[in-house]
Amino acid sequence: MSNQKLVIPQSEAKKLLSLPTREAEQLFQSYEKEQQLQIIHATRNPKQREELYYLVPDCTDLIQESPTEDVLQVLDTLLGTGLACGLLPCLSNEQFEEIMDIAIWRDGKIDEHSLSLWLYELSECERDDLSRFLSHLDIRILAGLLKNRVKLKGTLGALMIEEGIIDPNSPSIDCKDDQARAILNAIWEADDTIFTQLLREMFAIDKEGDTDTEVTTALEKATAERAERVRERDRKAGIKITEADLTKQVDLDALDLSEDEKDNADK
Amino acid sequence: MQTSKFSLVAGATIDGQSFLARTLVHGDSLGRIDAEISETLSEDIAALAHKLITMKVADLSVESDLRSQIQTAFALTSLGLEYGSKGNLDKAVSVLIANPVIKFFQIGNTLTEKLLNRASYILDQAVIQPPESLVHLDLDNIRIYNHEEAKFLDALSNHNTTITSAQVTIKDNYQPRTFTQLSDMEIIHQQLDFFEARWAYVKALPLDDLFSVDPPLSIAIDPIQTLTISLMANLTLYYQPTLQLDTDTLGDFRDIIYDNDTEEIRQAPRQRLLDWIEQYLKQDNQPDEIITYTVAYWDTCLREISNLNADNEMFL
Repeated sequence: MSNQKLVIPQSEAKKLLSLPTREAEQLFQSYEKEQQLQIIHATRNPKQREELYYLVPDCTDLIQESPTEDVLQVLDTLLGTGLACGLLPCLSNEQFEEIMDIAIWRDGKIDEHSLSLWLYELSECERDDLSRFLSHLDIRILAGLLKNRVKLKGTLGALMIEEGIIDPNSPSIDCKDDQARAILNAIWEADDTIFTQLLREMFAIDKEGDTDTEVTTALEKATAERAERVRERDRKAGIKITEADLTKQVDLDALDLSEDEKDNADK
Repeated sequence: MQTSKFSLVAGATIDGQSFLARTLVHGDSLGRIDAEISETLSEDIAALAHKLITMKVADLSVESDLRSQIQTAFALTSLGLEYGSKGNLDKAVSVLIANPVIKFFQIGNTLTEKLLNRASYILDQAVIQPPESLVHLDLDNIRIYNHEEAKFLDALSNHNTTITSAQVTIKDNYQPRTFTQLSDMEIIHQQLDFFEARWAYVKALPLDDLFSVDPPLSIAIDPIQTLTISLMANLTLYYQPTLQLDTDTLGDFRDIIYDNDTEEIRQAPRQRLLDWIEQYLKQDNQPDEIITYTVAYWDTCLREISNLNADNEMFL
């Protein structure tokens, strides 16, 4: 028989949020992890849910065992403030990938505004954390985002990329905006190998086709792979509907709807 | 870590007036939608709403955006079911049980897509642009719809409507509500027909001095009503189809057209104006539906005369 205290998640969440921090922490930490997760999940306001995560000294486990959409809701309240870096390191690699597959895509296409916001938020993380996340972020997508915002100047740039001796402050790199430069800087500081890999992808170094075609093809592949990952996760969660289903148009003059057999038998 | 198809849809309820809700109740009363089928349908609809949210909403922390997508999921499914069953509740129960819910959503989506594209086109394109020769003056376009009508067109992009019947001119809007019935869509189509007819009417007018009107029509609350009343006033007083209207002309026109004692529009000058625009559009070879709408539109504008005050304030 379980020793768990009987709690009603909704009312317990209300109580916790009304208590002084110290008392709330003591009470929350007195619950089993399962109960803590139930209380967090029952709290539908993401700002309040965030407060509950902070009631334990290290909320990594709680974050990683929460539904991804619940965690993403909390992170969305922090996006653009630079404050999400407090919670981002708690994400597992798998969870980060799942969040990216939702957060930076709209209608099956890359949402550049969201991707920029996320990259800014990631660039505020410790470099070790950023390095870990970058290895789970599709470089082809990053290249697609930055290709129109970063240009290669002169003839030496491609050679320097090939040799892996280029950095964001090189005169060969021309950033169209400060945010693009900040993103490049953060990536370089976190992992110079990924940085070089990104530039190779952006400028299609070692590839036969022209840069735009190569980047577009790479993006198409990344899109297809993301769709497959989403489909697989949904299948595991029992969701049969795909994004393609939601955008499909039908011929209204040739609807082919089945009718319940029981209805026909009754008739 | 897990994908939860219900966490973003928690607490959502189907509008009891929708065809989908009425089908579920009808199926229950016939004993054909039992608890198990009902549970499966609820889960499928929740999964559909969940997918729509993750696909469309940029910021999952914005509760109103989640609600909007949930309502869209319910509304499109309901519209598709009503269309697929031709509004027959018995048939609706039968097809709802025998087909995946996504099929009805797709039918609803196809139905509304055309409507939303039409509305979006009107919102963006139904304007009169200054001629090339005036580009240097940086003049604003003149919208063929008024502020309330712009709100209506804008609400449609979120699958909402603000009207309960088609109106020659929308003067008052209701709180936006999701359209969930085919009859709502018919009303919306009719309203869009009216806007297109008004657009055709405006384009048929002599617009040579349109952008020299002072104050500019682009700042009027209802530019085309202002333009139409100006035209009517000038026709009545000076037999000239010009668009510039001064305060005295408006006051004189009001005296001619509106009987303060009976608080009614005088029939003879009214009919002369309606005949004039009808003949004008006929000579311009406009189709009957444009002529019928425009005559009704002129009549509506004439009724607005009673609301006009002497200093022309309602024009701005």
